[in-house]
Amino acid sequence: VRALGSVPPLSQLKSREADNTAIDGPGDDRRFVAAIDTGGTFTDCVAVGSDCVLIQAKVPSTPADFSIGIVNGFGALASEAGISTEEFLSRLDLFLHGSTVVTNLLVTDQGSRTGVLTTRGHRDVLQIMGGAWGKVEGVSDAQIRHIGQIDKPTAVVPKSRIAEISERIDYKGAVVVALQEDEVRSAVKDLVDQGVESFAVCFLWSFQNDVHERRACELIESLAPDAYVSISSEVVGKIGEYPRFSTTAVNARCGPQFSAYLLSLQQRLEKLGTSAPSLIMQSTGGVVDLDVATAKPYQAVASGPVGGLVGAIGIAQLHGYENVICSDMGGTSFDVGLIIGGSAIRRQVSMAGPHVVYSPSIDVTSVGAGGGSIAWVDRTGALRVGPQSAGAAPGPACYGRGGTDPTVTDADLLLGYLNPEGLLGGSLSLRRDLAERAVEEHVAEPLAMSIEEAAAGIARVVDAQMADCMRQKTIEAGHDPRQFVAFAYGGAGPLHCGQYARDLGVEKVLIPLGNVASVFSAFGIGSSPVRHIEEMTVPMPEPFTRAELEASFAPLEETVGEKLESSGFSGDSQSIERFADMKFRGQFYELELSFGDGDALPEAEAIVEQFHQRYDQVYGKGAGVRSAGVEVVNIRVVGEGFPEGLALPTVINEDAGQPEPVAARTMYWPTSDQWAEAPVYSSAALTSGTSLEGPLVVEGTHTSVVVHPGDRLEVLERGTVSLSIERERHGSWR
Amino acid sequence: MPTAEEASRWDWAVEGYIPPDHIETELPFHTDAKATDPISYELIRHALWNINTEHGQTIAKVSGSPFAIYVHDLNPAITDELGELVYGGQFIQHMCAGAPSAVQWILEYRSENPGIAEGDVFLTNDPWIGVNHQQDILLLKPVFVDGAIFSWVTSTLHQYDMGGTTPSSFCPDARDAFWEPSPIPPMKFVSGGEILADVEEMVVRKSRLSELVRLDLRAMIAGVNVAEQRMLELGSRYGPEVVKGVMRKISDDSEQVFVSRLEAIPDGVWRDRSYLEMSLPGDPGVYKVELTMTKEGDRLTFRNTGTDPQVGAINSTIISFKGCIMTALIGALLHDQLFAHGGPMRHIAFDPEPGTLTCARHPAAVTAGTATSMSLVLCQAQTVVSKMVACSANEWDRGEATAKPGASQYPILSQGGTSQWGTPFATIALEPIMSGVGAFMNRDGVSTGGYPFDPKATAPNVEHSEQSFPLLTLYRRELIDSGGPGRYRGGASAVCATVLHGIDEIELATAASGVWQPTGTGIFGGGAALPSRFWLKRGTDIADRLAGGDVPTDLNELSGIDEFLDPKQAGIVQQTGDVLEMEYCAAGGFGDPFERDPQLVAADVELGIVSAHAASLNYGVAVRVSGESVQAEEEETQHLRDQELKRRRERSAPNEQLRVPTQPESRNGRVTIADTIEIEFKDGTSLYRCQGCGEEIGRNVRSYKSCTRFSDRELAAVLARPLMGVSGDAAKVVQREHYCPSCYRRIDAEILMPGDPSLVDIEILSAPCDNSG
Repeated sequence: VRALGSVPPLSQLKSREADNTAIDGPGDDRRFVAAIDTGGTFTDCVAVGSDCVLIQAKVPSTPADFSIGIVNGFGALASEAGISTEEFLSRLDLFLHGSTVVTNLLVTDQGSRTGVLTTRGHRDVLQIMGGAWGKVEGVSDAQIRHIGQIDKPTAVVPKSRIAEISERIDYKGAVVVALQEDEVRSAVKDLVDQGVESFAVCFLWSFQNDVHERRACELIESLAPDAYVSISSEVVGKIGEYPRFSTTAVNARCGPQFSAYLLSLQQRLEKLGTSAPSLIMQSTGGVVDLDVATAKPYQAVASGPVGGLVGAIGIAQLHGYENVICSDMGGTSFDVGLIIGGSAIRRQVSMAGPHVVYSPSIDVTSVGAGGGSIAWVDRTGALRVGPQSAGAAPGPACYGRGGTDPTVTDADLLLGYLNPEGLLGGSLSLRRDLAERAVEEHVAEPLAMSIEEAAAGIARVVDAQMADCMRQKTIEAGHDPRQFVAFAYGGAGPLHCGQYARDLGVEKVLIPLGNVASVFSAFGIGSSPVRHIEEMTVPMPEPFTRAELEASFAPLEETVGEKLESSGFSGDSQSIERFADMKFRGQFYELELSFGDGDALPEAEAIVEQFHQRYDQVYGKGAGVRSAGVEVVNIRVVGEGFPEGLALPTVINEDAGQPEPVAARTMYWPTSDQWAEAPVYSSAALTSGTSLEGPLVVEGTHTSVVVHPGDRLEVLERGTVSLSIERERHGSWR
Repeated sequence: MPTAEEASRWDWAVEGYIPPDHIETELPFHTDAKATDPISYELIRHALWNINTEHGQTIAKVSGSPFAIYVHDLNPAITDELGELVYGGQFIQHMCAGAPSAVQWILEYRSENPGIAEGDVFLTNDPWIGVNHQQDILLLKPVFVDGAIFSWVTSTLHQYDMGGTTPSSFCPDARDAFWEPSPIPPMKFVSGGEILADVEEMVVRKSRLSELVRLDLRAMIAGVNVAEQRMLELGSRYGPEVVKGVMRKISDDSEQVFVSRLEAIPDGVWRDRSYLEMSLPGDPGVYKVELTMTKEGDRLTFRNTGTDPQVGAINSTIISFKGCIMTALIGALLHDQLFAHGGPMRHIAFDPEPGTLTCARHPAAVTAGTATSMSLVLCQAQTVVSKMVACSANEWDRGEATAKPGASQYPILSQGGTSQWGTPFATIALEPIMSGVGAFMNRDGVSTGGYPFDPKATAPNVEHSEQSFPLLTLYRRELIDSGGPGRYRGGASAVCATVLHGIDEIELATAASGVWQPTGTGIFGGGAALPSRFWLKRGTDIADRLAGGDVPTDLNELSGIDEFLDPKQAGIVQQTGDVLEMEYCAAGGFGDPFERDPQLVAADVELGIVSAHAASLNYGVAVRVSGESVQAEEEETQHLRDQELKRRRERSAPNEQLRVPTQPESRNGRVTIADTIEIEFKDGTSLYRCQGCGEEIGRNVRSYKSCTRFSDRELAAVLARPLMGVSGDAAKVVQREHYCPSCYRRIDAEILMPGDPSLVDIEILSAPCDNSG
């Protein structure tokens, strides 16, 4: 078992930059573990060889068929390793993967055509969305306050494809109206005639008694054997029809394409000669096997950003930081998550694209601000950046792929932060003339300013937006961002973090693993544990017995145990933890109690006492009325196993001396509003203990670190870069 | 606010409490304030906002009340040492509006006896001092720093039941306050951190559900304690003077933004009028509620001139009147100021006439007032503010204008008895919180989108309701044709039907208006939404139908005896076999519905939001249904719309009584009223043009309505489904439509009791200052 924190001794690790000679040839018997995160713009790839050398690559994503980008990514990794793609794949031991495929399907409303069968009389659950619930969930408080400006999202399935079936089960699980099977048959036929490819079966109280949902599922399978079917009691057996149905419908809408995507990816890879098992990243913060992932695609939402957070937790532990604001600035989006007291913040209800789902997820907020975000002038003459993005195609104007809108990356180039000779390790040269033209036409001219002023304005606006997002996240969670360190990763993170951190008032920014920051989410995915979560509502009022509770847990534990075993974990290599959400009778909010992974649960009285203690702890003594009695609402089993994923490598040259600049460029320095020449260093020349004062730029393979005047860059062990932000220059807080 | 001199005429115990300009007290106050850097300001500002959020969440989590969980029928507030509001929470916004008044009452009347000390918490449910009705309990805790009062943290929470004639305490049959739970003026409830057991018992003893009220009180104490703790932490981290400085600056900044928004708005008068039917069970009367807002420079004055005298069970007090108006103002004008209305209050005067429906004198009955007269004022305030911002020179502010939401009445349906768990229960149906949001200038309202002034309130899941209460929901769906027609359509509401499950009978009561006549009126020509309806079908064979595998989704499918419940009716018993269906009012439309894009109407038909019948009746659009898709028939639509124009031309008359010539004293300038009328003021003349056709429609008149032509339409001719069970004067109510005399575009559609004159809803007195330079 090798988790983050339990890493191989430093001496075993070498860095790619330390040893650039190709190792191919007789005697090369390296094996690889690879992790790939497919984002909206780039596909980020990392692999660690059995020689403990980390290699990385970044290739454009291919939204029409994301699996092509992944194959290209393997190609790029192979070429970094100095071997052929087939050779690389044949030496692959494990492939860990996170993608934006599900989010993309939901955001662009391109999932499969789904039909819903639901209890007669309740067709509109997915349209009503619990009243305002579907309108305000996942929306910032600032937007909610501006009530005139917010609307409900388009329903996950239109009314015309929701069929009502006569059936009814009550709160006790008793059948009130028997399932009318003829209605199911005729509805399924109608829906199939409408071109429906997947079904969601959503009956009231099915988590108390799933007999109708199971029977309807059988009928669908017999009438439409190729259809993908999700039933609500199985997808998430929790009380509350709106979030349960929504989760089930989201699952059915994404199921066919996500399964097809994973299947086609696997076939492509098998054809290229690998038989390595794949593990798929989930929003729960863990990875699962392919079959589990295809059964619950809604849990694959936001897996890239969550991967980044999992990776960040490991690095934070390594350097002793408990409270961290994580920021991931990629091409399309800016993702923010919080680590408080060493753990990521979790939610039970989260968003899958615009839809509410019951999903025990790590909380990550995304805003449309990335390197590809388009700058524009609104009708009041204000300069705005995003949320539209030039994405992977056509990409920023300077990529020369036909983009004509000015983006943040174009501004970064014009401000001197990016090397015109190229991104992506030099494979993509940047066209300054195209960037100039785009900025001039769409920003400088309309605002009657110079191109340089316009570029500086774009950077300032996007930095402030990101700082706002981070501030909102932290402050709204009740914390002072100035007591946090910030982590900055993603392709554009190290370029912009100096300014957004200054805006935010934090004093220290860490760029985890330095040169690996641009593909850090992929690294996080690669270091994630296998995690299976099973939960359900089992209303159980006091007096209940330990045996009753044990009996409720048993099937969930069995499922989790089986899943772990099929992932290759048994006995000591797996850990299973049990939780119960409990509340006072007559109240609505639950508190989660953990029972650890011991063999036996405590006696019922002890559990109730534990609840009382926890309640007093959270709400103060005397807040609860004990005479009301206590009840269990939901139970949850979380199982983990640790695959031989990516180990924490070192990525710096331990032997390098004091680095020397490789070049000098004129750049824009916003803290003094001046253009000035500054030295450029190569990230390959950095070594742990390096300490440099800005202004300067460090150029890496896929990203650059901009160090502003007065800020100090220091290199920590394993290549993580620390920036100290000078407080005197905290002038741009608005 | 009336001047101190005027207010001295007001007896707090009768007309309601108006704080004096200065309160004489020997109490020590912490008044030192210090400016701080912008970073700390931003942090402390958000921290103060978050204190209310955490305070409210604490209450919701500890309380067992569905009112707290779903409807968020609560709101915390933070005031300064003397009771000026700093922030209210993001729950039901008007729920915190009485807190400043109650703090000031306590300072004025309780400083010496029993005194105000550290660790005290005061409690009140007095609608003439600090809450909307007696079901709301308000707790107030002074926060002491160095022995001096630094600020107050408060919270209001609606209780399940506080006694009175009806379970849940909305008392539709109350003839005065003595039929209702008696109001408790502020009294000490916690002393030195200990709950006073005698006071607690006195409060909970009033309720049918004592133990739940006790739990709610604990929840509220947990809430004010958390809030106090967070205030003290802020003070010790940044220094109390710095925090106080931020509190002052929040109000000053908000005031400045408020005033700057007013600068772009012309001086003028905006009015709204609605009606309430039935003041007590059996009463055939219809009662008028009016709201007038006058803007002069940077001051707004609100009056209720024209409102009928207080009567029966449909009254509300000055506290509600103020809360409603603040709620409307913060939504449209302070959304970017974290709703801080303490500063803006300095520019607002309240001058309602005591003894009226919306400023009732004690001992008027007010428990059902929140759902009736108060809901009306809330939406009237939103309308006058919407019509005002629609005249702004600032494009962004104009976009805030919206038609009335479904919240124009909350149709109270009380349910009580013994639950399936063998325990007593009393609640009200919470489905109406899923009502629609009104239409905007450029987009439709949001169907089942919730309450604008309680943005996070949600309806309970059917499963959660059935878990708690002995009911089975047969159906719950969006209500076709409910949203008010308009160029942009009002948000639809929903309908739901329930039968008893696991018990034999429960007791019901209704407390509503807007059942026999519409209250969800449209704006700028938009039409009214469908009213609410309670339909009880007695003695059906529902049990057999369900047992036979049949789930009815329309009451017409069931045999039985139809009973349409009156808007105010108590003592109704629902038994096994009786099915209760409840429809609740939806939101109003924006603009002339006959100008709505026919494709949008067809799309609404496809979505089941509008019927083909209503498409033709309300929009003049003929649709063709083929399979799943619905198309608008171009030719037939043109024909229908031509016919409507013809009807308007032939059946309309000039507004003779409003034709009084006036000489404007305005500075030169131009005012546009949404996209309806443009007024040009030039050298002592005013020229009115229709923005639809560009034609001049009059000059030197009091209002555009002096120039329009009107036509009275029976409700049966404009509502897509007939109103059932209507009796009394409500049967006479009409929709009066006002048209451009040149192009016959519909510019206003008001609900009118014959005999009342057309409402002069907008009078522009002067163009705004030209601040374009």
